[in-house]
Amino acid sequence: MTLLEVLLAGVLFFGSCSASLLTWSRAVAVLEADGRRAERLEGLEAELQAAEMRLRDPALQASPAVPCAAVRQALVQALEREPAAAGVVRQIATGEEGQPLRLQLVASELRRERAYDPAAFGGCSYGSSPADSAAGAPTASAAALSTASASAPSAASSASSTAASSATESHAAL
Amino acid sequence: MIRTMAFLYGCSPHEGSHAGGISRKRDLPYKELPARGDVRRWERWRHPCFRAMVSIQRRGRWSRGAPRPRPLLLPLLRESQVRQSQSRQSQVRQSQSRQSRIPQSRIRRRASGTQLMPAGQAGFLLPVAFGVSLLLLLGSLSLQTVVLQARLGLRLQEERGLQEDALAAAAQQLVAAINRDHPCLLSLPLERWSQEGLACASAGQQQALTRGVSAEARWQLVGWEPSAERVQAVIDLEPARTAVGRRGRFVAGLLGTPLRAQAPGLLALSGVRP
Repeated sequence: MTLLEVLLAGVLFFGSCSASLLTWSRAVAVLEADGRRAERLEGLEAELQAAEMRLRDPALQASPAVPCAAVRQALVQALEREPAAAGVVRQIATGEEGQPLRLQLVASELRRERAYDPAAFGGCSYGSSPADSAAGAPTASAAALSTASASAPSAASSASSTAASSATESHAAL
Repeated sequence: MIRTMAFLYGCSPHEGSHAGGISRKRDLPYKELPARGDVRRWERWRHPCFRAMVSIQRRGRWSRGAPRPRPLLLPLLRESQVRQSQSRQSQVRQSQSRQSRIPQSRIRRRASGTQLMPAGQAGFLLPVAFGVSLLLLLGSLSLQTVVLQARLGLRLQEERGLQEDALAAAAQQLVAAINRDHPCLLSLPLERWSQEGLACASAGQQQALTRGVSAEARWQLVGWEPSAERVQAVIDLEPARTAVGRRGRFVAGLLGTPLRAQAPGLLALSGVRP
């Protein structure tokens, strides 16, 4: 065993120690970052599921006679009924008539986006003129939807029946 | 110079002590090595290392018959290899001694007493350091592999979420279009759209209805299975950034008169290879 061997062994050992320590520290940092990212992802998923559950409220059942603007407004109210979870930013883009409603959930650099078309919730009618609104039937349906979306889930069924009766009235008027 | 070479080549004073010369001095320090010009005293040592150094000193290069200095990684070799090397060196010395007419018996005796590495001094530090370093590096590399796999799983989960969003938007788009423009298709399976469905939607309209683009990915309706109270829609999403597409199975309630679908919800999600 010479001094050269000792030196070589020391250099090899400390070199590998430092390299492995560096690798371990980076791996742990990446694991922590991935864990935080996974938590944010799960938070977004949970918030999205909660929003979907609110949209499945039977009170939001529309009909072809109800104006899509009213359905859109009811959907927005249902989505905004409860505050977003901590760390999640909720953005709702209502868009123009005929365009789907867009729900964006943002948590840091992660983003989830869903599009909801008012016509997919039982159908609705576009292009309701002010005269139709003045006639009363669509306005009544919209009011019923708004009431349903703003009310508690326990009162949803009664609001739904109100919306259905209003739709029948509008059919009769037409 | 010779002392430095003796240090670098691992020629310990103990190694030459068996071959004669200053054989009784077991702890001879380097400073007591023979002087530079005392070549005869060097030759009396009869040790391969010192013979090699003397050869270098005389000729300025390695001669053919001179033994090589001990390699640095010699401790890693097996004992049999060391013995083989020793026998090879002794053969070289025998051939040299024939030329110089030195009695063979004396050469054999001296050669047999020569040891490249005494057993107690076999370098163990370098192999141990090498093994430990290998273990450390292998451990850190395996940890790095685990981390990369976890990251890949997270990326796949993110990608799956984005594809799920695109499929949900496609289902909304499809159900909204059918509710709005072609409610007669609600109660017809997809296989019958091309026949009975022509009553309310032309072939071109059906083509536009069953295909679309959502979140920069193309989708296609591959199944429409109505029942008494609900309808199941199967939508394939073509892969945009990954090699695997997605198939989403949605369920929507059927209600009212005229019939209309309401709020399609995701029932199952699976991968589809194109």
